[in-house]
Amino acid sequence: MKKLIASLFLFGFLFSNSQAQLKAGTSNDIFDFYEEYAGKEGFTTVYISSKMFQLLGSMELDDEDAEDFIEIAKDLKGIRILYYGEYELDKDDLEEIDVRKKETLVYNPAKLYKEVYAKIPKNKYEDLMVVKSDGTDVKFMVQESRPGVIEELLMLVGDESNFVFMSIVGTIDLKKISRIANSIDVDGLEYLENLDDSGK
Amino acid sequence: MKRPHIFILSFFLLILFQSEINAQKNTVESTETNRSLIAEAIGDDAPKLRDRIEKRGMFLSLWIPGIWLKTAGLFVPKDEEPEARELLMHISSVRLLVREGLLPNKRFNRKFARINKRMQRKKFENLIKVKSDDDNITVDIKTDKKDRVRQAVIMVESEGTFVLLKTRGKIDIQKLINLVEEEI
Repeated sequence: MKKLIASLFLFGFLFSNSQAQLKAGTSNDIFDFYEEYAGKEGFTTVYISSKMFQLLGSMELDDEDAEDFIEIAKDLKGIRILYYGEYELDKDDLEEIDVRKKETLVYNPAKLYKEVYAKIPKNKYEDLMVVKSDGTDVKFMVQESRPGVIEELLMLVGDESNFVFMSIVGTIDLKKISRIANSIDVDGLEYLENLDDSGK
Repeated sequence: MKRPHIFILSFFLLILFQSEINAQKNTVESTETNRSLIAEAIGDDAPKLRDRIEKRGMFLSLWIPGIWLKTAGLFVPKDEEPEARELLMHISSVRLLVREGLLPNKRFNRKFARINKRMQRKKFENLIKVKSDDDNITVDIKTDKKDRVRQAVIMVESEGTFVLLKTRGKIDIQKLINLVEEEI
């Protein structure tokens, strides 16, 4: 009987650990927030898995920018992006952006920003950079697995019209990511270029 | 003749394949004829209903057996495109489903739900998932212990058009990457 209880306990412990690893470092509350809004109308979501990064990481290309991206991709485990706001791509011309009317927005982007920020556990994530510009708040937060090694980078952008949430999980080199920030067309990433040489 | 059974099997598959294509074509053609007749009968009394019926829709279900792809691979020059040849040789089948401009129906929704459930049960790995308003793109693969792609499913939904591409085979990921590198 004792052996049965002990094995059930051990099984439950191992099971809970494996579930935690599945979310690859992201806090449960943040993950739940992403999952809650990912399926809702009006939200744009992008998810790239670790398997995809493994495939990208084993490519060899001649283009210098692509090589930088591949170098970073080797160490990444996943990217999640959630966007909600008044901008959307023109489907006929992907480089043009249409502006939706604000009245059609069901959710308040500024409230979404506050909601997700409240869910981030402050004992695990620390502020890397905060930018306030023309009513737009941009926040970068990092979670370190050990001193000097960033396991997760969060980016939050919020104002009255737009909300962006991005989570990059893996072994992250901020200097490399700031180098390719321009090629990743996500609002707010361009502020990473302002990081100093120390990476903070 | 070496391996006559393969020749006979491919002959029957060819007949089956051709008849499936013809069946789909006939369905689409007769549906279009019926649509225009009905639309004409309605006339201007119900313009919205008429427009809906006149709207052209398309449904295509295509299955390409591996024997065709292997045969096509024999014609690819080994010296010039070895990766493409290798890829064609290792694909067992390709299924393509295209649905455009049709009103949603229960049969299609059931089929789609079955595909999704089967993929979850067989533990497909999701590579990319992008969703934006009415547009959805998902790419899922299933690999074996030797890290070869056994099944790959690409689903694209955009502006009323749905495309499902499903391949089976034993595709070496590194060779697939080499092919993509060449194309880029």
